[in-house]
Amino acid sequence: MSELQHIPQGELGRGWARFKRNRLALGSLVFVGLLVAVALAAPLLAPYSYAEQDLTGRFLPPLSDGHLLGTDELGRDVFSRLIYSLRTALLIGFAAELVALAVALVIGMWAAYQGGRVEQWLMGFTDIMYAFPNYLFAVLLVVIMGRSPLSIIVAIGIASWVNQARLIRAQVLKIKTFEFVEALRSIGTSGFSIAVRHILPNAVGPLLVTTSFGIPLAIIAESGLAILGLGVAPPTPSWGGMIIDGYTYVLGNPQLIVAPLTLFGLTMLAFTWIGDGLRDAFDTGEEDRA
Amino acid sequence: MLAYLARRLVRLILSLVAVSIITFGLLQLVPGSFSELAEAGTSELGGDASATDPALTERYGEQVPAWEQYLTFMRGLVTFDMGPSYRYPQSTVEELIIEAFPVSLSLAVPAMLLTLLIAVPVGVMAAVKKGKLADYGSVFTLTTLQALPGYLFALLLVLVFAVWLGMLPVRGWAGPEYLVIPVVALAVQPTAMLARYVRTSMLEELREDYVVAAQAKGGRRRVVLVRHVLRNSLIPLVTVAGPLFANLATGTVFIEALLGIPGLGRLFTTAARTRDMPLLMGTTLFFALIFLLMNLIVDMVYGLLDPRIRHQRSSGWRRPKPPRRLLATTSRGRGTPGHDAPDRSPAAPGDVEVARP
Amino acid sequence: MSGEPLLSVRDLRVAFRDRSGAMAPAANLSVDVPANGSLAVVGESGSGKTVSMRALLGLLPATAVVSGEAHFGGRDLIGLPEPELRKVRGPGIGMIFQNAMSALNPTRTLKVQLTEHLRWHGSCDRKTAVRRAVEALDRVGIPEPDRRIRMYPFQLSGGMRQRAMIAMSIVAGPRLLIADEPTTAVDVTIQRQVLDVLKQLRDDGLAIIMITHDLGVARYFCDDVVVMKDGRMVETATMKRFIADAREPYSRKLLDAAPDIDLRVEPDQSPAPSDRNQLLQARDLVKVFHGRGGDVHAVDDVSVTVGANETVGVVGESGSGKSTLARLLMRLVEPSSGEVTFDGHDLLAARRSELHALRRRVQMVFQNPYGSLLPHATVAANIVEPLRVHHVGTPAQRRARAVELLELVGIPVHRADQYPRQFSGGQQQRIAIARALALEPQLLVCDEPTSALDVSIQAQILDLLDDLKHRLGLSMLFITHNLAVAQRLCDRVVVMASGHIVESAPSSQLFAQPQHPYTRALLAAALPVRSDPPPWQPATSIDTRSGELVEVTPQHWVRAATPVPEETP
Repeated sequence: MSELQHIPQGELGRGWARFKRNRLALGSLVFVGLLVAVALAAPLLAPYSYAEQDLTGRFLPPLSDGHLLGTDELGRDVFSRLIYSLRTALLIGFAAELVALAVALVIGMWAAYQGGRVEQWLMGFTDIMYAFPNYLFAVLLVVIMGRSPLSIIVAIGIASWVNQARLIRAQVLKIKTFEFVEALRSIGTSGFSIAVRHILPNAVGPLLVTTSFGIPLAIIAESGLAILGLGVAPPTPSWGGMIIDGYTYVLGNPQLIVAPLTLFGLTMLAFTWIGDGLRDAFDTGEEDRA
Repeated sequence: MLAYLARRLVRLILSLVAVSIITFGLLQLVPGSFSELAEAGTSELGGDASATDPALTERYGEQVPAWEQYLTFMRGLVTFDMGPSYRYPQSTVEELIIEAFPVSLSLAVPAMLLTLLIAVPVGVMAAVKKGKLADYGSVFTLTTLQALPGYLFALLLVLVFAVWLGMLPVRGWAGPEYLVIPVVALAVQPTAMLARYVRTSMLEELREDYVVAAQAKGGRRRVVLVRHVLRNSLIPLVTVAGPLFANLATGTVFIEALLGIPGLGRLFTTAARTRDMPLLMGTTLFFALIFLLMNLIVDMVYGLLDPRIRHQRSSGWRRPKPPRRLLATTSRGRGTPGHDAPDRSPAAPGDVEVARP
Repeated sequence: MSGEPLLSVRDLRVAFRDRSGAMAPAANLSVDVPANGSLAVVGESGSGKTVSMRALLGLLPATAVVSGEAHFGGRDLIGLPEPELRKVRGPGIGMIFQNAMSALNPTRTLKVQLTEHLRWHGSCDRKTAVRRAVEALDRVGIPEPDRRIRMYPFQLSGGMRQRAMIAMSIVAGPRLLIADEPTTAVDVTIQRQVLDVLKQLRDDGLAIIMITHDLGVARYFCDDVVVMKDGRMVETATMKRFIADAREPYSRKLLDAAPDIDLRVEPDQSPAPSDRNQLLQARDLVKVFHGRGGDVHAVDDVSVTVGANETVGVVGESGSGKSTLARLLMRLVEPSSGEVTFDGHDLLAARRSELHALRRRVQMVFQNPYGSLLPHATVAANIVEPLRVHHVGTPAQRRARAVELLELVGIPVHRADQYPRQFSGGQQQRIAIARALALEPQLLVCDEPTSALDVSIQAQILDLLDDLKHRLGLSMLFITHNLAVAQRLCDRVVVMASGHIVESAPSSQLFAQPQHPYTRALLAAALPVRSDPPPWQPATSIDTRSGELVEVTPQHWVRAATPVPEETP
């Protein structure tokens, strides 16, 4: 038990110490970091512009001269488009999750904190939103707001806060039953201070987990919208767009969808493993504890 | 029980009305006038753009105020006469839905069966082998599979079985062989999720004393697992399986779009893209109805399976609500028994030595 | 007792293998249980008593490594192949558990759970099995057994459930019963009922091993005793000798720590002056919870006072409303009606700022020390939280105060920057007490501060509170279910039942001359360690609601339906 002394004991520090020991999760985090770096440096790394067409050099196979991953049906460099599509995916993924989390935090915390009628109304509203299946609401919003990145971010964010709000509310309600909340009230701590200074820090773990699972879901929604023809307007590349465009030629040129598919899949796995690592580290999930 | 059902039905109808208002309200924000939209809808079909259906004009024309349009639509919904769609003026909304729903169902039902058939045994196996290689292996596999959306899986299957092996068609809807890829792709994520749920639920039950008690009565481990643990852990499964099925029956949007399957998902997407108001309203409400009905069925079935819930309902009170109003310093005169009521039981620390790994 | 023992355990060792393969020893035990005998396995949490008993029946997880011998019915249970061992479980050795709610499957009827193993063992056909199950329910004193057998566990009351669980373990006709803390989760009066059911079974020829942390229960029930600590056997003896002359220091420590009611106290003929300066006064407090099942009067028309430097105990079983009363007085829960004044200030009419100021002077200590401390803050931060909230002092002064308080409650000061989870339960409660004292309150409200702790720790915390009370001149309101604890600490005791006060008297008076039948029943149900248990008969339902509180002798109030009870001899 003497090694216990060396482990930092703050909530975050403790979680991080445990997270670090999970190699898969740590590797995934490094991978995501790398992806972010690539996305930021896209103009430096991409050999061509994502929109530059070369109708004489269409459907070039991978490893052709100057085109690492070949070219697509319009003769655009697949590698460059892939790098730029990472921008689309990550930007929309992170930003949409931020929107969703903000809405969810406000509604979830407010409902749980206030209780009574406010809670009933807020949760009733949440229940109604829940009746819009899956990505339907996002589709509706994009139809209304158009296909700019901003409106896609807002659409996905607004369509996916519901579950997170429920999770946050449940978490806050759980923490509220802990005896220390009553102890704080008996000391004279104000309700707001209890919520922000004491309940929130105890919900940090679950919040991180929620976020790390929310980002890939937002990316899935973004690509899904592109598959429906409702993603970012061409020629801006996105995984969904590349997939649906390439799919037309899949029998002759399967490499066109293999590249985005691989990157997409790896990104999803990385986020999931990070989320899993966080869940174990903060001991929050439904998973077993020994 | 009947009173409970009635209360739930009222709530269902109210929710539907709320959904319809939200959807209709949002659609009012869509840029473009009715005639433009109706023309856009028909012209995309390649039809005669100038000849907007008079029936449509009468229902939703410029001079008709929004609230009247809404009421017209809702009246149509109740009398099952929602009128023609913008995009397919030859067909009524209900005809289009009735045509598309069986297609989606023929994917959802096999996918659901596949999910249950695989998820339950895998989940049980992982729970029973907890801490062993089989458990770690299956949890890792399940986590990985759960991370991939269905449409990614569909693409993988297409690459392997259609492009590479040439065994299955790439896209379309013309026979049983067109079912294979979408059904499997649809089933993967739910299977992974459900299997993990079964595992967690089993592990939770395994911690209860009644498991040791049944073994201390001389029960075979297998018998105890099936008669007590599995039974109890499958009851909450209903609450997950129900919405899951609703999801499968309606939420195949991306896969249907990708593989060119003329199901509900595609109907909705088409309606959304062409801003076909009647069809959009119709499909959205249909989806919501399926969801809400499924939730209702789940709650009813849950009550039948779990005697605790059954007895609560028949004695007229519902599941106890979690504590409320804990934070407000001045909650004078109000309170719920959940939080501030009874004394803590004078339980001394029980021995939890066994739980130590 | 002559002849072969029914169960003979020799050098039973249990260890748990962790993931790296290292072994953590958990128990080492040698005992004999004669046929018809009764053995108490006594120890605090983590002493290995449950583990060793489960090891006998092979009920431990696969990570457990068990060695040694355990002879039962001519066979060695350790290493017996599973199918053979199964024949012993149930028909040979039965087992009962602490919490019947968990030990009975909530979704199956009693009928299924009481008969299934008879079928597994092939003892009899379905019809006979049901008949035997009904008989077993009848034997443990469940009225209308043929109706109740069709019920689910949650439809029974706590005591009834506990008895149904006992019926489940005896229906297959075992010769030995292992009872694992069978009464720890129930109230004293129910505890006595459950124990008497078990006693009846023992008189009918069943041998019983009782795992317990409660020496009173052990003494009441068992002929022999084994004391365990940290997985090792400390002492084994006959109960008589153990009580009179325990040899091992740890045994003596346990015996000394056991809280006992002393019923032979001389009533103090000169009770404390009644004109004490009243610090806290509550009048006609009512709290009604509006549940879906109807209104519950958790606290009904209760008046209490706490004087300066006085310690008042509020005693009652679960559901008596005592914890709600504490929360009403703290204004953590708003009363439905009534009034509370603190040092002349109306607490209920107090506005936010006024209430805030009053909170400085009344502080609370909770039952569960870990739950009541801030898990995300260090010990020092926990202790200065009240100072921070009330803007007392500079950070440096607060820190100094925290150090001072840690010294006061006996926590090493160098651990001030560790987190609550790094401390043991007893230490955590000391920290919680330090926090409650930070603002130098005049009144401390303690809600079962020791019932989550082991007996020896409980004694230390009680000593600490007693000491602080005198040193700091504190007034205290002490909520407890344990009469012995109340006697030890309190000047005056209030007995509550179903939301009402049934009796209130100076401590010496109450224990020497209890008046209300409910108080007497409580006192009679308590099981002392050092003296013989008082005579007891199963309580007929006692009326705790009707009547008025009457002052029978100065400051001794009794709820009386029939006026003026006679003097007790």
